[in-house]
Amino acid sequence: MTTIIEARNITKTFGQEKNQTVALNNVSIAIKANEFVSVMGPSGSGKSTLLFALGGMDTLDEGCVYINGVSLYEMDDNRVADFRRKNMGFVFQNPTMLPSLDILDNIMLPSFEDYKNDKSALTQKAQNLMKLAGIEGTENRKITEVSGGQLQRASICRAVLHGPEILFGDEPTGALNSKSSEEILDLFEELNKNGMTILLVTHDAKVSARANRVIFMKDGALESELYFENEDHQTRLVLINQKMSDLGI
Amino acid sequence: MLKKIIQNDLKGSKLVSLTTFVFILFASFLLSTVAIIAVNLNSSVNLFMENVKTPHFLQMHMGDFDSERMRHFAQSNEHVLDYQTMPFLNVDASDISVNGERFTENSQDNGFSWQSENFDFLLDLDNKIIYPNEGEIYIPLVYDTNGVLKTGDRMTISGLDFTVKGAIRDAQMSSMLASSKRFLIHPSDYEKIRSVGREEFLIEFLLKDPASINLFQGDYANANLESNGPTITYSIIKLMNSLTDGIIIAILFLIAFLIIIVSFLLIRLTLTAKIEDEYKTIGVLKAIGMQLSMIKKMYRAKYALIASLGSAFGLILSLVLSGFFLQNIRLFFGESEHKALAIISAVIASAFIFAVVILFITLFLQRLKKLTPAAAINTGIVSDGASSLKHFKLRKQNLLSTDLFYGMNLILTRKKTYFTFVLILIIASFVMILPNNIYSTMASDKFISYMGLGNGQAMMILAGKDSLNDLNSRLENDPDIETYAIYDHKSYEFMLDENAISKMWVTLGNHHLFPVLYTAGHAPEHDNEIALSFLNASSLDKKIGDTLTLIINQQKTDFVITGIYSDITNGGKTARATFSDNLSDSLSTSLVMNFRKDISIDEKLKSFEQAYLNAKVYNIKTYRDAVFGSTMNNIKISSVIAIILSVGLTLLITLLFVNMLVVKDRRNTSILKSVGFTNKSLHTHYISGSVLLVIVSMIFGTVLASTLGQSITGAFVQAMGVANLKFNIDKSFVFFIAPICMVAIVYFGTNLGTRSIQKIKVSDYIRE
Ligand SMILES: Nc1ncnc2c1ncn2[C@@H]1O[C@H](COP(=O)(O)OP(=O)(O)OP(=O)(O)O)[C@@H](O)[C@H]1O
Ligand SMILES: [Mg+2]
Repeated sequence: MTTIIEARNITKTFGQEKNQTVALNNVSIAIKANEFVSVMGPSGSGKSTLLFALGGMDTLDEGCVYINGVSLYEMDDNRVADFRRKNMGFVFQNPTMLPSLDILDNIMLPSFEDYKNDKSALTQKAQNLMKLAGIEGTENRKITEVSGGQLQRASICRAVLHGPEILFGDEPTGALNSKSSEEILDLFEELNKNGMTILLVTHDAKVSARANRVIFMKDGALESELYFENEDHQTRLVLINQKMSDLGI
Repeated sequence: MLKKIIQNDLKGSKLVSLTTFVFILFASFLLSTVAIIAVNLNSSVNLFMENVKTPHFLQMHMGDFDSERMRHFAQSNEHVLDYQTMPFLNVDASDISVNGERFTENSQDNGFSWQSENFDFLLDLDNKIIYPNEGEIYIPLVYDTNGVLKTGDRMTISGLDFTVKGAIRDAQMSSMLASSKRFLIHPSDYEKIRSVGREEFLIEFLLKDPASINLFQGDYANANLESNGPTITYSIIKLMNSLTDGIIIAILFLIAFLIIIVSFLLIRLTLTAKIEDEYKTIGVLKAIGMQLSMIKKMYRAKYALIASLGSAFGLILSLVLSGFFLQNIRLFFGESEHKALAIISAVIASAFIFAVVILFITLFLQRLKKLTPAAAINTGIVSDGASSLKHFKLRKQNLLSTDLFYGMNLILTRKKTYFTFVLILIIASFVMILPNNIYSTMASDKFISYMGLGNGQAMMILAGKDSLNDLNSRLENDPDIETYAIYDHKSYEFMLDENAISKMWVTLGNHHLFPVLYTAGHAPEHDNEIALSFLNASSLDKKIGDTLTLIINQQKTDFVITGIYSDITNGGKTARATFSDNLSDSLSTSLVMNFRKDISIDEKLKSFEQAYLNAKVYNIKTYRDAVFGSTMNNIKISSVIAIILSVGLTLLITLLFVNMLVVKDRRNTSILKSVGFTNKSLHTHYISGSVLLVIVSMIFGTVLASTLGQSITGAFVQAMGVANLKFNIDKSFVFFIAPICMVAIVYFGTNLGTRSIQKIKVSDYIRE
C-alpha cells in the first residue's frame, strides 16, 4: 500500500509566551491509501488541530505534510486550495453550508467549475448521492428549511461529490442521533470500500469500531494505536474501550 | 458602564468611527457656515443699503426731460418722501484710455456721475460718502477686484486726465449682472467731459413706505412721465446685490444636505452590521430582562459621543473659517451689525445636526423592538436568514463562472445590505457629473441662444439711429459678410389691463435671420404679431395666442403673441416684433452678423471698431465670457472639487462597506476556503459584485444628473430669464472618463478592502 498522507514532526502552538498551548507537539504520522482511520482522545488533546494540519487548512510552526509526496506547506495558498478542492473532502461537526444557496447548489458549488461542460451529469450524480444519504427531495430548500441531521448529510454529499481521494471528518456524526449516525457510517464504509481514504476524529467508540486503524492522542502527541482486520464489531468496541481506560481518556 | 461600552465600541471600529465623525463635522461646519453667511449677508446688505439710502423706485431715461413737470409730480404724489434726478454720462470705451492704453472693458455701459445730494450715495470701503476733488476719479469696485483698473492709474477721458483714488460701493450697479457701471468724479469735471458722452437721467424716488412701491409704480406709469429706459425697484437691487453670495449659500446648503444624507447612510450601514453581528447578544440581553431603552442607549452611546464631538468641532471650524467666506461680503457691503446673531444661528445649526443624527439613530434602533429573544438566540449565525433565490440557480445557468455566479448571488440575496451602498454611489456619481454638465452647457455655443442674443458670430450696438443709412450700404457691399440683420430697440407703453399702463422693450426687425431660442411658438412674421421673452410672458401671465395691446404713437394697437423665447438681456423682460416705426425714438440699434468662413472674426471686428467710433462691437462668444466668465470659472472650479469629493467619498465608502462585508462573511469565507476556493476566487466574488453595482449606480447617477439635475439647474437660471434649459453634456466625460474613474476606484477600493480575506484561515471560524 502506498502512503497517501505523511506528516513529519509537526508542531503547532497557540497564544503568546505566558498562556501558550502546544496543540501539536512534534507529531509524525503516515496514512496509507484506502485506510479508514479514526482519531480519539480527550477534549483539547489536539485532534482537530491535527486534522486541520493534515488538510492544509492551518499554518504550522514546524514540520511538514506530504500528500502523495507533495509538500502541502510549500505550495502557495491558491494552489493548496485548488489541491484541496480536487483531492480532499471535509466534514465538520456542525454543518457548514452557505446561507445564500439552496441545498443542491451548496452541494454542487465546489465541483461546479470542474464539471461545467457536464453539468447535467454532475447534477445527476449529486442527486444520486442525496438519495444514498437519505435526503432526496430537499434539493430546492433553503438551508434553514431542513433539519440539522439533513444538513449534515448534505455537507457529506458536498464533501464526496467530486470523488476526492481523502475524506476528512471532525466528529461528523457528533450532532446526529444514533440512527442517522449509523446510516452515515454505512455510507462512509461504502465509500471506503470503493477506494476512498477516510480520516475521522471522534469521541464515540462506536464510530471508531468501523475503522481499521484507531489513533489515540493526548496532550498534542500520539499515544498509541490499534489496528483492526477481521475482528467483529463487539470485539472492536471492547478493545477500544479498554485502551481508552488504560490511557485515562 | 456606558463609558466602558463606548470605549470598547470605539476600539473595535476606529475607521468607521473616524469617518462618521468627519462626516458629521463637515455637515455641522457647512450648516453653521451657511447660517453665519446668511445672517451676515442679510445684515451687511441691509446696513449698506441704508447707508446708501437706496432709492425705492428708479427710472432711467434718455432724451428730453421736463424737470418742472417731474418736480410737480413728486411733490403732489402721496407716497414720495424724497426725489432727485442724477445724470449718468455714457462714455464709449473708445473715448477712455488708461495709462495711455485703450480701455478694454466694453461689455458694460461705462458712465460718469457726481455724488448725489440727498440719497443714492456712492460710498467708499468704509461706507462713507465720497466727495472727489477735481482731477480725481473713483472706480466701480468690480473693476478693482477684477484688476481692470487700480488705485493710482491715470484715466484719460477725451483729453482730461484723472487719477484713480479708490473704489466705490454702488448699491445699484455693482453686480456684473447689472449692465451699467458708475464712475464718480467732481461736478465741474463732469461739465468738462459732458460733450463726449450721451447723457442719461436716473430719476430716483425715496418712498415713505417701501411697501407702496407697486402703487407708486402704477401712479408713475399713469402720469405719462419720462420713461425711455429700464425701471428698477428696491427689491431688484437687493436681489442683485445678494445673488453672488446667495448662490454660494445655496451650494453650501446643498452640499451640507448631501453630507447629512451620506452620514445617515453610513450610520445605517455600520449600525446594521453591528446589530447583525450581535444579534445573539441582544437576544440574550432581552432574555435576561434588560429593557429596550437600555439596549438602545448602549448602541446609541458611541454615536452620541461622535455626534456631539463632530457638531462641536464643526461649529468651531465654521467660526474660525467663516472669515474667509465673509471676505467678499465685507468687501462689497461692509461689516454686519448682527455678528452675535450670526454666531447664535451657527450654534443652532450645529445643534440641529446633532439632534438630527440622534433622532435618526433612535428611530433606526426602533427595529430592535421586533426582535424576540427566542428568534435571536436560535438563528444565531445566520442573522439575515438563509435566502436562496427561486430562479437564479448555479445548476441552471451556463453564462457565468462559479465565481461570478456566487458574486451575483450574494448581491441578489442581500439586496437590503447593498441598497445603502448603491444609494451612496448614485449620490457620488450625481455629484461628480452635475457640475460638469452645467459647465459644458454654459460653455457650449448653443447657450448663447438662451441668452437672447441670436446665433450670429458678432454683434454691434449703435446708440440712436444716426449713421445707420451709411452703415446699411456699407454692409451690403462688404464681401466678408455673409448675412446680417439690423434690429431697432424701442420702448413702448402697453396696456397692463383695461386701465393700467406699463412699459416694455421691443426689438424690431427680422427675427428669422438670427433666431433666438423659442420655448414655445415661433418668431413673429406679420406686422400684428409679437413674441415675448419668457420672464415677460410669465410675469404678464400671457400664453401663445393671447393678445397684447401696445400704444404706438398714441394709438392702441393689438398684437397676437406667436412665441415665447429665452432671454437674459435687459433683466430678461423683452419683446420682439416685425413692424416698422420711424416716428418714435430708438433706444439703440443693434446689428447681428455672420461672416464668410475664411474670415478672421477678431480682425474684422477691429476694422469695424475703427470705422464706427460710436459703436460697440462684440464677438458674441467674448460677450458671453464677459457676462458669465466669472460664473463659469466658479462652476469649473466647483466641478473639479466635486470630482475630487466624489472620488474620495466613493473610495472611502467602498473601503468601509467591503470591510464590513468581509467581517460579516468571515464564517462563509472559512467554509468556502474549506471546500477549496482560492483567495483569487473569493476576491472575484466581491469584485464582481462591486463592479456590477457601481455600473448600475453610475447609470442611475448619470440619468439623474441630466434629468433631475437639469430641472434643478433650470429652476435656478429661470429667474434670470433662461427658459427650458437643456443640458449640453460633455459626452467624453460623462460616458467615458467619469464611469471609468468610478469603476476604477470601486475596483481599487474593493481590492484593498478584501485584502484581509487572505489572512482568514479555515480553522478560525469553523472549529467549535
Ligand atoms: N484558535 C485557538 N487559540 C488558542 N488555543 C487554541 C485554539 N484552537 C485550539 N486551541 C487549543 O489547542 C489545544 C488543542 O485544541 P483542539 O481543538 O485540537 O482539541 P480537540 O482535541 O479537537 O478537542 P475537542 O475534542 O474538544 O474538539 C486546546 O488546548 C485548545 O485550547
Ligand atoms: Mg475538536
